[in-house]
Amino acid sequence: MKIIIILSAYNEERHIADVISACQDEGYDDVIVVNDGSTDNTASAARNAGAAVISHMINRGAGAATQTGLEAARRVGADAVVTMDADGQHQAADINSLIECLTNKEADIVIGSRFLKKENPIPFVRKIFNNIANIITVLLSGIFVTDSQSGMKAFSRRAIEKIMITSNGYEFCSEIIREARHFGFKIKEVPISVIYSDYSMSKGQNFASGITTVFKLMIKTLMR
Amino acid sequence: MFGSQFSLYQFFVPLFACLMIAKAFSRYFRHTITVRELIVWVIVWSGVSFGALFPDFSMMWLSRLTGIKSGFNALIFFTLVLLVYGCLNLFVKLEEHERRLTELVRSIALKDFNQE
Repeated sequence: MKIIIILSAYNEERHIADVISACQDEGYDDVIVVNDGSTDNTASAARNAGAAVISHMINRGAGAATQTGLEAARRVGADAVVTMDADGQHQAADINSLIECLTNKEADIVIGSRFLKKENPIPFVRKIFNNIANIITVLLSGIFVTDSQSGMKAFSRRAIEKIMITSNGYEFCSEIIREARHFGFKIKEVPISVIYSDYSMSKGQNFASGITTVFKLMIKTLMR
Repeated sequence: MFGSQFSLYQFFVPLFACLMIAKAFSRYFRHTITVRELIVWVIVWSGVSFGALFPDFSMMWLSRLTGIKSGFNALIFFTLVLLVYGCLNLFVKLEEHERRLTELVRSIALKDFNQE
């Protein structure tokens, strides 16, 4: 089974090598880094760590980078894809449980949920935004998940071939769930660990981008 | 019907509207707007001209149509609705341009990736 790990990275030279090494330590050697218009040395750091690198010439956002990664995985004939954040907040050890769901044919898309693991120290603001996004995701797709905005997901070959993300920003997470509903894919959530550092908090969605995500989701719900 | 006296704006606003309609036709013949957009522009600018030429009648008609007693309030309400619609339309168009730009960036990135 050819499993590709996709890391969408924007200015992640400090952490990208560690994330790639962690994946390799778990036995996942095929890592593709989508360098989303970084202005630092993310691309060379990723290459030196042994990953294949695809570079966007300008920054297009997390959704755009993820779709580029999925297309690359399709071209190299991946049987499964796992997407992870490149800032080190996700744990490579959790990849196994996501892949297990795919190999057992339990789902076509597996979402790593931060909220199914009570020990995760998730900031209050993120919980609020995630709940709002979950509600909008239900309106958009008719499917309720506990962590609609999780960056850690696994896709089966069937899903890789069909899913087309058109959103550039963080709202792509909800779009994937809508696409899953559209194609009749099974979705499953598994608990994952998450580490919030000052660094990862500064990289992820902030208050302003959270508002933008919610606004775009609402417009897409109204105008679909 | 023209109001108590003919004001200067009643000349300049319809003149400006005529120029805008002519411009819309020019853009249509150059294929930069669709027939639907042409119709919308003609209706909007004709409405603006009519409102300027016959202000009292327009206010009365607008007030009857909306059920809002004051014609001026009805005008503000309609303007707000049009502005919100315009903003949403711009947002959708902007998103479409963003999507096309992303497709271009992606195809270049994947082409470079294949050549490696």
